Amino acid sequence: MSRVEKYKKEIYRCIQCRSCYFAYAGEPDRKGIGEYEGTLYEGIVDGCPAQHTFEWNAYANAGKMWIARGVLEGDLKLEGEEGIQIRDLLMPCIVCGNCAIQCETKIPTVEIIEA
Amino acid sequence: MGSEYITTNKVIRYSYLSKGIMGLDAIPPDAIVRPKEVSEVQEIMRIANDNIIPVTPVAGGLSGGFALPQTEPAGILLDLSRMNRVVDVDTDNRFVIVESGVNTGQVWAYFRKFFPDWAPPVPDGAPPSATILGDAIERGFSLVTGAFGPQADLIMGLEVVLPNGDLFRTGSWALSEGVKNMKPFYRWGPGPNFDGLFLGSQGTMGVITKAAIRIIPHPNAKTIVAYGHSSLEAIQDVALRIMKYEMGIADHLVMVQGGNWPLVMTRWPELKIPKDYDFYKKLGISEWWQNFEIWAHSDEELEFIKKRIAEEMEGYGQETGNQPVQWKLHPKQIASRLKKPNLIAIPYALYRGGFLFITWYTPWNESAEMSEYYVAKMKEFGIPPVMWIASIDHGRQAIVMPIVCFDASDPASVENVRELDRVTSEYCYDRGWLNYRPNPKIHSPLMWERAPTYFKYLKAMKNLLDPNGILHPGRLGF
Repeated sequence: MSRVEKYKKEIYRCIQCRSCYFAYAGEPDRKGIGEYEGTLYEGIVDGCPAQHTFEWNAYANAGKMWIARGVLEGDLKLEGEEGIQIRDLLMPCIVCGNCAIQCETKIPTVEIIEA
Repeated sequence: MGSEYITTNKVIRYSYLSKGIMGLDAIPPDAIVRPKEVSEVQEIMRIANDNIIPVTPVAGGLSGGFALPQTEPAGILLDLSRMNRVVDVDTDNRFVIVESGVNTGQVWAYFRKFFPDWAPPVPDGAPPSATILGDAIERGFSLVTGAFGPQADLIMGLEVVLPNGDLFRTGSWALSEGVKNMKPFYRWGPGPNFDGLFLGSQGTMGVITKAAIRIIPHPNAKTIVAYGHSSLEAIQDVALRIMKYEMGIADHLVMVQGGNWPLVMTRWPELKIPKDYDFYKKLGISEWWQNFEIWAHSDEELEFIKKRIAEEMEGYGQETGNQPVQWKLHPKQIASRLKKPNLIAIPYALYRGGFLFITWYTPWNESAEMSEYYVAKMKEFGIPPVMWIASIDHGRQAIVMPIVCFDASDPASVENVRELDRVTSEYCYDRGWLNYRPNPKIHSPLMWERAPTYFKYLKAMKNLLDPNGILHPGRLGF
């Protein structure tokens, strides 16, 4: 809990814009290469392996920040059944750090997830 | 539908919470259901209606607290993000039909690949996870709002599921029950058109499962020009001078926006950035500035529009003695601004740790007055006076958007924002300005007080469509 508390200010910065779902090129607009299966345009592709696989928002960084907020505000517990649920939602994250790169509000996502 | 798309898991339910951007109030849903097919939405609605379970529909769900349940019991969050098919594109009749969950990144990519000469009117500033349907039905702002009006003006037809499970379409599309391949070619359809009941209703009147939305030519000749001004009044007046041409020059100005220098400052952490205007002045940032995004079919046409804007600026300067100063933009700056979708509206949480758009619609020629009032009030409340305005439909209306930066982790800071909103809203409604997404606790009572007969019939229509009051209860302030 104290490790999460350390990142309180950063956690509260998340506005659920969900840019962390994507690998989004900040480069100026251009035509896509678009030949990979499922890829239309290299400017925006699915970028969060856990969210892409399990789909619920809880698997993306945005969802995790609001879960962390629930913990900090005492609505969610790190122990018992809720603790197990939180663990199960966190474990599929491969801490690739894509969400940290995508985050326009510079949330240190990997550090928070590891905390 | 499959139980894997339904959850009551408490932790997952909390992961959908959001307080910020548009609203500060939200509670976690009791369950989240993610249908894929319209028939599933119909079945969910029938069950919810029979059992009087509240339902809050969301597409992208990026509207902060206001996209979430407002009252207890919170009921079902109907997450439509799996309904993400681009159903049809018709470049002769110029519309795209999308399901609720088609996000702007997806639809932009789809058009870049398959219809590069056409653009879907995606919101400007919203991230790629925002939905094109959500922006349209909420009467939002898009990359062509300056010339084509609010997004709701681009609607050609809606497909709606009512709480009793009935499904119907609006406009000419209504005839699709009896006519094969019926096109949403005529918005006003068979007679009195219902679509206005759903636009801006925020999920309180029906669940919109598809929309036909106009598409816009996507020419290759595009650019940005920007001018610095000494006052917001100058931005308002010179823009109006140009946009009142309506045809020709004004039709090419897909976005006309303005703002002040704190828009730059607040994209950085408060503790790490100078707060004195002199610093920004040295960087060449004017106290007030505006930019025009211009789309044209050829470079010659583009040059002509730029020349005409420059002439109007010069003429305004000569008449008033306040000569606008044209900014020299780096090609990379222009290219970045032209990029869609973009994330321009996102970084304001960096400054203090949260932000709220308290967005108002005013006549364009009152936008300076509104902005000056709000800037003074924000200063009074210790909030940086960040102001962004944009023209709607050739300067007929303005979106006046104070960007209220606050510390989301500090309850006193959040309460300060609420108090600012309370204090300013009474004044704004007395002036006849309208909040874009009325807060049910602060704005709605003030608004309905001033429109009692309208309110009476709105409640009657809500009762007709949703007699058990299950759709997004409380969101309209009743």
